[in-house]
Amino acid sequence: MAMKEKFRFFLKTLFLILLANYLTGCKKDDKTTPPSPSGKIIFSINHQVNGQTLTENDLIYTNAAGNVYLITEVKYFISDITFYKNDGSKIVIGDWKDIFYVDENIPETKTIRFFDNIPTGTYDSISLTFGISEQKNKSYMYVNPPEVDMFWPEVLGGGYHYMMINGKWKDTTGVNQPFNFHLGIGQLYHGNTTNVDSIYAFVQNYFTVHLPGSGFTMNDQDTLTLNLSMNIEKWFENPHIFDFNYWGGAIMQNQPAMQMAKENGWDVFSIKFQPGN
Amino acid sequence: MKKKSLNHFKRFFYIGFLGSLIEIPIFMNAQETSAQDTLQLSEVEVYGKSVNFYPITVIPAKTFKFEAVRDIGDFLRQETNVSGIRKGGVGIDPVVRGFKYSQVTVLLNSGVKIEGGCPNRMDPVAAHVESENIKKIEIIKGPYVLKYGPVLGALINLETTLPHPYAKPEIHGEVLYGFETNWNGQREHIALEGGNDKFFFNASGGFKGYGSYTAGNDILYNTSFQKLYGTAGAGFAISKNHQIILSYAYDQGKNILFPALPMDERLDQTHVGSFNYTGRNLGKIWQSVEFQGYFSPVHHVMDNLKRPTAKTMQSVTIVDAWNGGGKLTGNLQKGAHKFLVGLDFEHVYKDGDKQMTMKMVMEGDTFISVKHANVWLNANVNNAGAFAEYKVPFRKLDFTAALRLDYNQATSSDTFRLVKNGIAYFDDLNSNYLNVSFSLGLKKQLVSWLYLSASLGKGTRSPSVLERFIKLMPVQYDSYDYLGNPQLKPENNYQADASFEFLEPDFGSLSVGGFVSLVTDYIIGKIVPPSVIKPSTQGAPGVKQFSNTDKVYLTGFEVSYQSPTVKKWGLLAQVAATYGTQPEAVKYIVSGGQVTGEESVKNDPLPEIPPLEGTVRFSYKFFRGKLIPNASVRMVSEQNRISQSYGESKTPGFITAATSVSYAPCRFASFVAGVENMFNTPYYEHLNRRMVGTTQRLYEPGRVFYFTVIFKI
Repeated sequence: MAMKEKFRFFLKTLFLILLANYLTGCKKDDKTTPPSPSGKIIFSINHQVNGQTLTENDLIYTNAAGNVYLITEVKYFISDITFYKNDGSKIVIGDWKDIFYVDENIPETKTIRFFDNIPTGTYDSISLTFGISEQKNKSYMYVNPPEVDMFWPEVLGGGYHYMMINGKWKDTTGVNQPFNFHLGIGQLYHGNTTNVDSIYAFVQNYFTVHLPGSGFTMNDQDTLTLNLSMNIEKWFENPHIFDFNYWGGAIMQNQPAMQMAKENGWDVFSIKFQPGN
Repeated sequence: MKKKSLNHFKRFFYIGFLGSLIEIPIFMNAQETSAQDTLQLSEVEVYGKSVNFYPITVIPAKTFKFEAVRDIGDFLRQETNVSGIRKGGVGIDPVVRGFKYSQVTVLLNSGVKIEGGCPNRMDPVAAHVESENIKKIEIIKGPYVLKYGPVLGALINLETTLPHPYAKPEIHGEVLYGFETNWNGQREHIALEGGNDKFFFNASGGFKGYGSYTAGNDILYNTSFQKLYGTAGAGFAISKNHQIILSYAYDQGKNILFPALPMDERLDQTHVGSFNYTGRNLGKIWQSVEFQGYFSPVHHVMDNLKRPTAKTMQSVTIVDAWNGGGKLTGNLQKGAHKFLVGLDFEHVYKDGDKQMTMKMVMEGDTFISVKHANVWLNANVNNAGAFAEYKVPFRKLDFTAALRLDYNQATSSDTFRLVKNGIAYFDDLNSNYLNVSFSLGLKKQLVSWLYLSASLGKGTRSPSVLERFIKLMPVQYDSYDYLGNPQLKPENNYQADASFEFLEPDFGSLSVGGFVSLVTDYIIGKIVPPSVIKPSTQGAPGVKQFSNTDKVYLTGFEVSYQSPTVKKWGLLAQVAATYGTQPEAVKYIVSGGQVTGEESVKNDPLPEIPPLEGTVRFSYKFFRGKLIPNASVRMVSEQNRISQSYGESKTPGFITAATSVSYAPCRFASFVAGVENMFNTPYYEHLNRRMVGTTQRLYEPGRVFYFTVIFKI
């Protein structure tokens, strides 16, 4: 073979190799599967006292201990919202978010539009975690407001407040005293001090709330709106009567007080389906 | 006969001079030139047609020396289809034909690489070099030149001033002073070089101090910066054909403010040391051998201590980045067949720590919490390459082929792991890839005044250290925190270029070219749900992770006209655009401020693609070129092709104008005065970042008057 022909042959071969490389480099489109039948759920959250919509900054409420009080702020986290199907399976919300911040003063936080598609079927009940589980409640996981303002100091257990209900109560002398009814990780102290150096253990105070009457049926393409109400007075009455005059205004370094609040929290929520669902 | 000769001369002169401005033959470098060719001449003009088959722009220092260049990335935006991502006054990250970040290889002296320390890319490679020390800039579009390392979309080669031999003992010096209004910027530069045919040296140093600039919208942007730099080099001619050059450069940035990033650069220190050996005329076949070794450590400190966000959380990040490597190249020739073969190696190391201090006052007590998080932890990437180029004139055309093989290996000492719901987001830290790149090119003179260039190539690049191992820093156009992906696959760019060049001595040069590109395994950020990971940077709306998307397409064109340089009047007109498309993308549906679902978007435009733009520059030479007034107008169209999946917003078009006058009364002194953004137009480029905490873009500087004085002996 003459030199020129060899070179021509070389070029042709090279071209074919490169062409093959190009063609094999292009992948075919994957086939997409149709989505399974499902619907959407929206939580519309409201805060009530004694069955009435909360009015902030008004000294008009009285709790079971007889404390006259007002509310200035209500903010908290709910997480791991779970839908229990009648076949024994469950759907835990978390495809997009699994922890939800709710703030009375930030209206958009009171409507939660879940990203998750809820498969069609009949559901028996709904539960949620009030606060954030130990596994998920990590310091610095929020860096932006408003969630970052729920920061719980590292020396007190870290992570974030589960709840802040702030306000004032009229003490035994008739003076309005501020209260910070805060829930978060509790501490156990040596002796009778609350000095952080004497902390010897932490207590996880988050708890699960089973919502009564929360069964529903989901049809394909449906969007169900559930009204979730927090009945604030219940934090102070069942099974323990919470008396501000006894516990004082600050409880975040007082585990017995937080334990009482935690045990009162089992029935603070109620749920209703919006008409038309 | 005399007239014909003159025309002939004019034609060669024209083509040659144009070649020196626009195109330099691919093999026209130190590897092929003889020892005598390295002698310094006052002005070099290259005669003969270009043999480059790929789009290359060569910008000699004289083009930018007299301009108010604060930053190389800023200057490069004047070139066709080259844009930049502005985050502050300097550190503008070049984008070439829509390729950006690690898709654009930026290197020094044909082989020295620098790994920027900043995860936010405050310090892209070009930010570690000052324009005053640059001799020449080459921009090569496409994955066609493979001898400099892996290239995906484009390559920018910054040739710095290195020592060179002199036929007889000489010493030269240069002093530059420049001042700009608006941000009251000053730059001072001094350089010295000299030697003889055996020993030669150079040294330089300088300072730049700029305040904050006011844009055309009368808003003052906090963009002040200070730069300090110095270089030193020495060369030895061991014998007639053997030469070594040692060089060192230091570049320091201090208090560089980035209003479009969550932090400012407090300190950035770069050391670049290199060793070059060149042996020439080694035999009948071996034309030359060249070895280049380098080491370039970068120490980078950034914080938010002077930002309002520091009131709730103070963040300080310290990063050390090293890049070291070498390259061995040999040039062979047998008859008309030219070969270039070589091996190269690059090692990249990165380690960085972010300290966050949170101060909270609760129930009367003050609590301070400090958290340390590593941005990178002993992250290492090694790349070993072998490359070859072959070139031969074939049937009245120049044919070039190149092949490159890369073995890429990465690892990290990270203890961070993210595996959720069976998905390993960040787990196995080791990856190894064997990449193949190639290119083919033809250049043919169709008729005496018309050239056709065509090129085809596949460029493959392995993911960068940042794309593999970064942990929660806002490193891209949007303000999301980004998470690396240790198992990212390499990106492949299959590209074809074609261009016609019309060259006529009395008409000038008209070049029309276009390209198409298919990028597979395109690396792009994809949102990771907050249930999996949450951002750690204040202001970041969420987390995105670098991921491979199946494929994207890019296409574009460049048209330029240059008047004959022998004429007194000069005209340069150019227009260019790039279009990018992602066939399949995911858009998140936002309702009431919440992500409530997702939907597929077909043929979504790629994000961060600059719009159509054109530039016209006019000049006239008075007094045999001693006095040259210039005027230019830049027209940029609005960008309506925006990515839905990326949440991009449209950008309005704008027109800006600039003018200057240069005066060189003798060869020892030059003076330039000018005005940029003459009509104080309020505008921003499509790629300019948003101001932190707002949806407003960072505007470009308003009107700037400047002058530059250069004395040299």
